[in-house]
Amino acid sequence: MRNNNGGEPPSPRLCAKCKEQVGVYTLRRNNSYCRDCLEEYLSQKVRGALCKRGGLIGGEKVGLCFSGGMSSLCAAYLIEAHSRIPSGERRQRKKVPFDMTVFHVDLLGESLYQDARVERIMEQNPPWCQEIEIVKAEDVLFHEQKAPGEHIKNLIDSIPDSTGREDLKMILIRETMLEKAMKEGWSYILMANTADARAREAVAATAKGQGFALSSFSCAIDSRYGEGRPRVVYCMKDVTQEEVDCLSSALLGEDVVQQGDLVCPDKKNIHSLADIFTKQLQMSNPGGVSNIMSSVAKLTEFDWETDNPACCPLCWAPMHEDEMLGAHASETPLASVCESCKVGVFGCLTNEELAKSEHASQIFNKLPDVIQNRILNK
Amino acid sequence: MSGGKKRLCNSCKDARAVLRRPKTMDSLCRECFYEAFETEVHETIMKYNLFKAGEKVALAASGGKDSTVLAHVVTTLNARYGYGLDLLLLSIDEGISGYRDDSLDTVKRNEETYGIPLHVFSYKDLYGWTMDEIVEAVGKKNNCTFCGVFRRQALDRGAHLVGATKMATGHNADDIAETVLLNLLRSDVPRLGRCSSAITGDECSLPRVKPFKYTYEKEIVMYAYFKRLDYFSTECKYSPFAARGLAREFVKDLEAARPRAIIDLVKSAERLRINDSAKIVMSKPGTCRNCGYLSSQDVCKACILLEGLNKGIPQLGIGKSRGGSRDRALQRSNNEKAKSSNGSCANGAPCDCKQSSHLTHNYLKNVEKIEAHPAARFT
Repeated sequence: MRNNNGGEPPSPRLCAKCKEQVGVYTLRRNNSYCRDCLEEYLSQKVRGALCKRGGLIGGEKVGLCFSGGMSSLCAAYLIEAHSRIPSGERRQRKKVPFDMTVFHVDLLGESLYQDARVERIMEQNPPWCQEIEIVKAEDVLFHEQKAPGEHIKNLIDSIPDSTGREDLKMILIRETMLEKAMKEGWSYILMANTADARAREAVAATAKGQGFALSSFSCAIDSRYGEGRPRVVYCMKDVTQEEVDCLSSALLGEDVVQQGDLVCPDKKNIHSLADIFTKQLQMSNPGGVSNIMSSVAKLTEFDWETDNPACCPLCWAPMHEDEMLGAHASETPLASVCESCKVGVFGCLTNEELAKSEHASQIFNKLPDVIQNRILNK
Repeated sequence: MSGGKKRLCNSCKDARAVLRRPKTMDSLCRECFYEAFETEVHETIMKYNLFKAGEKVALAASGGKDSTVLAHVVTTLNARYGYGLDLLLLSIDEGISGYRDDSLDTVKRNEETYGIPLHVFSYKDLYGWTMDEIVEAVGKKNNCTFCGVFRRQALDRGAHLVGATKMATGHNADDIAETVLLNLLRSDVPRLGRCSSAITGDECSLPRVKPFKYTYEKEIVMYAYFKRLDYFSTECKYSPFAARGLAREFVKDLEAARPRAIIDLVKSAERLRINDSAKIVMSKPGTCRNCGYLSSQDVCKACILLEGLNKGIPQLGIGKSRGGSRDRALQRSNNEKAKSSNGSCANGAPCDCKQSSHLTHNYLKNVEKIEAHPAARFT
């Protein structure tokens, strides 16, 4: 390719890190990386989250939650190819020995793959990819029900609020993960939420009145679930969506997929709106997501062991004291849940409404026993 | 409200419902809506102890719906509940032609309607610049920064001049929700912590209160409409370029998805876990060594912005300078200096600028002289 003056073609940009190979993958408009350096850069971030902040030292049993999206696949690749060796093997430089199971929580019998790119990669049976264990939520949470699959569907469909339905899905997926982890003896669950995903969750939480819980979105490790329950490590929290897109194009051997038009799939859902908002923000200001996470990081962190904050028995969000006003005196145990769950899941604003609402009681009775017991014991 | 079947008011169950409250989705008749609206504002005032008997309260008035409804409601509640307040209207003429001049005429009419004295101060007198001149120098992207900073200081200086001990603004729940998001996006945690407060600066000589902290913008519009209040409804001509646009759009979408999301955004800011060192940063006011105005920095933002404007580098306080705008500003600065020195414009033509501000707008009768800012142009 010649330039306009008909002179020599411009020399290709070298990798910003090694300065030897051609920089094929461009991040933040300016920095181009070769594939090896890109992978090393990203796996450093993952290792930092796992080991420095997550506390993995070797010998642990770990579950990696595979949602079916590209970030899960990239997390699996970066850990398997660069950060992990099987437990029992001799520790290598930059690799920690631990056992890892990749699992997917199947809530409603939907397809495993959320992203067509993931399906294309998995069809190639890459050597770094383990078999994905499918964990059915109905088997873990509702095994005593006659038709557990139908039961879950009825439970979710009985929530009229779109945001509340999505909240409940996430609650059931989390509960399934925790129960599975306890059964398997996993001490850690790894989640592949990227920085963009965490920023989106923080914005949605702010819009739902969960400002008190906001500082928990900057933590790499989350051990709020108590004794005997696993810690959750957000191993991709420092990896951006742009970086995931670059890595996925490297794995596919294709050009980076450009962001298409932003369309909100469900304008009644706060999570969808937060998703579009953060994407629009990132398009107008490439530092947008990082600013949000920087704000969240400046808030006072939760020390789950010593602070022992009161958490919502349904969604596990730490609750501000004004959310707990009147809970002890109320007739209904549902008064102990956070405001967001009262409004979104049970459709009631006040404890008085909750106590009188038959619909709220019906939803409560359909919840898994483990959640019902937690609410009753609060 | 549509439908052939008569829907009764949820509150009195007697009169026909004429509206649905955006905040609670209750169907209400007019009277019950007025009562609900005014009672909520009164509860906010009581909850946060916004006013004390005997205070001289300046109501920041722009002529828009928020400040018009504020004047109406505070006057009403002052009489109904005996707050014992001495009220006045305080307006700032930023010098936005075709917008502010018309809106301030509305405030002038409100002065007559509510029997509250109106005091107007202008950017031109205080800073030597109008917003139209600033936009010409700065461009349309960052001008809201200038307007916001200058207006805040202008209100404070004006309030001190008229002897006010407190200032009330018409900031509503939607405004606060947008500000919460903006501060989250700017990573400004100290501001994030205080932007949801109903009262700020209570340790200073002029605290500011927001009686509409929990009041929805839509309900303010409905109240103004049903009460047939006289307000100016046009948006500032420079507002489409404001950074707040994305946050505003998001808040509107959230409100459509879940009406209480606006209150939830405000409550989120109230519930944030902010550590003590950040709180100390928040509450430590000092004074500007240049102009003596309240400032958390050594030199206040208004002084920095003015310096930039006066030196022809308008981006001084907000970003990198652009050569073109600097040259234009310098040229303008030279023209203005020539004008003021010999009464004629730089090109030699007789200057009739003062004649062009002939009293076509009623509010101009209320414009009062104010001592120019130490860093103002031509001081």
